[in-house]
Amino acid sequence: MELDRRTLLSAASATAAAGIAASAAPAMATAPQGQVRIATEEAFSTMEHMKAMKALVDSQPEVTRFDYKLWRMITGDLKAYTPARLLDLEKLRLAEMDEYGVTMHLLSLTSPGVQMLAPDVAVGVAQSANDELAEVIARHPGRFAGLATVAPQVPEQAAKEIERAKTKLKLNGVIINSHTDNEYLDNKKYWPILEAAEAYDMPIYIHPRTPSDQMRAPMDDYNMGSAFWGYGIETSTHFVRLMMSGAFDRFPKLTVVLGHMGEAVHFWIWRLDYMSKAGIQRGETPVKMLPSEYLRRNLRITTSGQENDAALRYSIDTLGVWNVMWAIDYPYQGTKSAVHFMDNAPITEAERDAIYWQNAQRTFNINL
Amino acid sequence: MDRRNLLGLAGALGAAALLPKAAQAQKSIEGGFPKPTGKYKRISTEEAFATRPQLEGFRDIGKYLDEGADLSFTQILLGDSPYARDMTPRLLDIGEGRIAELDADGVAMQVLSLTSPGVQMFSADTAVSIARESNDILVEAVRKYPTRFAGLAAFAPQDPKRAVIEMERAINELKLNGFILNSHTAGHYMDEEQFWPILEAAEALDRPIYIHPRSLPEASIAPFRPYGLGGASWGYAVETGTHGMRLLFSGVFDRFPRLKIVLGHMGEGIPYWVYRFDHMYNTAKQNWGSGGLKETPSFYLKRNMMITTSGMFSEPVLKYCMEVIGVDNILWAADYPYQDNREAAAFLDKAKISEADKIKIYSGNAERVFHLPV
Repeated sequence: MELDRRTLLSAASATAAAGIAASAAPAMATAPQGQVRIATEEAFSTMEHMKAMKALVDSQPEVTRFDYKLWRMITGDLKAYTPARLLDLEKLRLAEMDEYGVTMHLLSLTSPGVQMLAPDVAVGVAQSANDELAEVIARHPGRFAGLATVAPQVPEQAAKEIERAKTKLKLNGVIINSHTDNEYLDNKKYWPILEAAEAYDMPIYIHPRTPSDQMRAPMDDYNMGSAFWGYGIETSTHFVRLMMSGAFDRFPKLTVVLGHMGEAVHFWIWRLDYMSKAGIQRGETPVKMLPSEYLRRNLRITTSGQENDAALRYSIDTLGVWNVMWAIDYPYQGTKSAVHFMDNAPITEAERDAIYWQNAQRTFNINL
Repeated sequence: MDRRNLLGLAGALGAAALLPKAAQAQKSIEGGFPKPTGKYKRISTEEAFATRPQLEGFRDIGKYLDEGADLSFTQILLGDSPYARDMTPRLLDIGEGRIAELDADGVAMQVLSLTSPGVQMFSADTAVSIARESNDILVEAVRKYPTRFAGLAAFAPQDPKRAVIEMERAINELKLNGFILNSHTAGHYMDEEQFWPILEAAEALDRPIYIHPRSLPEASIAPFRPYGLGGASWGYAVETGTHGMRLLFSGVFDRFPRLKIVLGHMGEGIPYWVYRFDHMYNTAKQNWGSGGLKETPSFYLKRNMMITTSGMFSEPVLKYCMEVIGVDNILWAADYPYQDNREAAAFLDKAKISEADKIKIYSGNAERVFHLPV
């Protein structure tokens, strides 16, 4: 892989501006013909997944939690706009990708994946979804890559599935839809999953889902447990817990990816450092470094659903341009506006290439 | 006081949540932020004090409502740790000692507010009387040092009717400058109809309500207990940001269009989500006909909310917020005595923004919204 000096220099100057060590700048691939666009938070589903989710939400008609309401709607009519596009991988999806010049979707089983299902059902649905995913990637080389679904309900089995996804299925990472049965990945029972992800160089994309039962009470009104607030609170809190547990000291090469322009975790980068500095210095915390150091070493963020130039600039300045990746969040968000946003964002061409595809290729070991 | 019990509580909460705040403040001073220049009139707007009646109330822990992590914080203030020995006297001093610190740190004026959780953990009767007594103590200091102190009145949301009486007294008789609310009251939020008289009074009196953080309520604190995340490092913002979002999405700003809400910590995260909540709101409106609001949510953010710099001395965040919420809605705050005045000033002094914008943030916006003497 050749080194693009302009990219590096630009990255280095952004780094200097943000006070980030320039030596942290990774080597970037050179651009092939035309603008390459790799979208990194792109949802799909399988019939087996839909059936399992429908059985679950229909069996508990009394539950009014946001995710139950949402899944009654999704599974109520599989021909409606969103479920039709979740289930279709080769017709509607490729046509929309072609229309807007999207090179590749990095696919992931839509939230909450298998994490609301009973453990034995979850393991089966995850495996077959991963098999289907590997097949469609094989049928369309260069158009699809994929994140493996695992069932955190059974951690040892999930770790094995990560190994299978990497070595047999050649998938590119793992997706976990935030909490599982109201528990978070900082709980050591899940650490076999983190260990496998690090060992097999599989980044874990922590995708939102409805906030856990122990935090959602104030977000039960106005549908606040959803995408415009509760998802972000749930997912950012998940990441902060993971970080402050010392997981990134135990697994220093683990990469975690957050969508929605980082779920606002790094909006708090200064305050997180400020509030934990003294405890870290006195050796009272499980972590050894400042939160900002983990954010720049172990976190990548994507632009899904946050087409906001100011937030993009803020993210580049605080995390470094090589930690930011483009995403659409198909089919929940429009391809047209996501492409328009990134084509026109007021950033350098080198930054645009890094965000549109180079960072995704490097992070997820993608073969173009 | 049972000190062992207290230490146990602090430990259970995660000492990192609370104690480092003091250690940090001391460290910053040791770290030697220089005395700021006399170039700016600096008015700080989230500055805490305590009163003896309030601290006495904290002793009566049997009566606490929805304690969350606040119980251990209040007990730490009552204890005799090095933190308490430094912090509690400084909270109680709204006289010469504090003025000397302001002089040394280049701060022209503090807008004072009764320290979190204010009176909101007490039973209604206790809360009403402690709010009233504390406002009387506050106004005495303001009258003694009218160019150095202004004040936000405490009130007891536990009893909205009597809260309104105290709010009217605070503005019409005591000539205070606004109101302080420490987020939830027994797990309830200001968008609920039971509290509308309070919002109505604030609007009618033309004074803002500063919504300051406190611990998440019992019903939603569990995921924040580990690693001390219930406090200032994370949970406070979740609690207070959620409170602000409830106000934005409930329609109270259609009902009370001239109501002003102030949020600290650069808006408690809300400004970061402005694109996404507008977009999701518009999508929902398109799909289901009505979103329930007359305008898009960001319209209310810009019209009805102001943010302060307390505890967020970060230039990238400042610039981001100036872009999405506008410089006229940003106020300077230090969060004395919990954080360092000089660090707060050094941050804004050296920020690469225009002098005109700096003056708005340091003084102009506060003078306007709090009706301060110029």
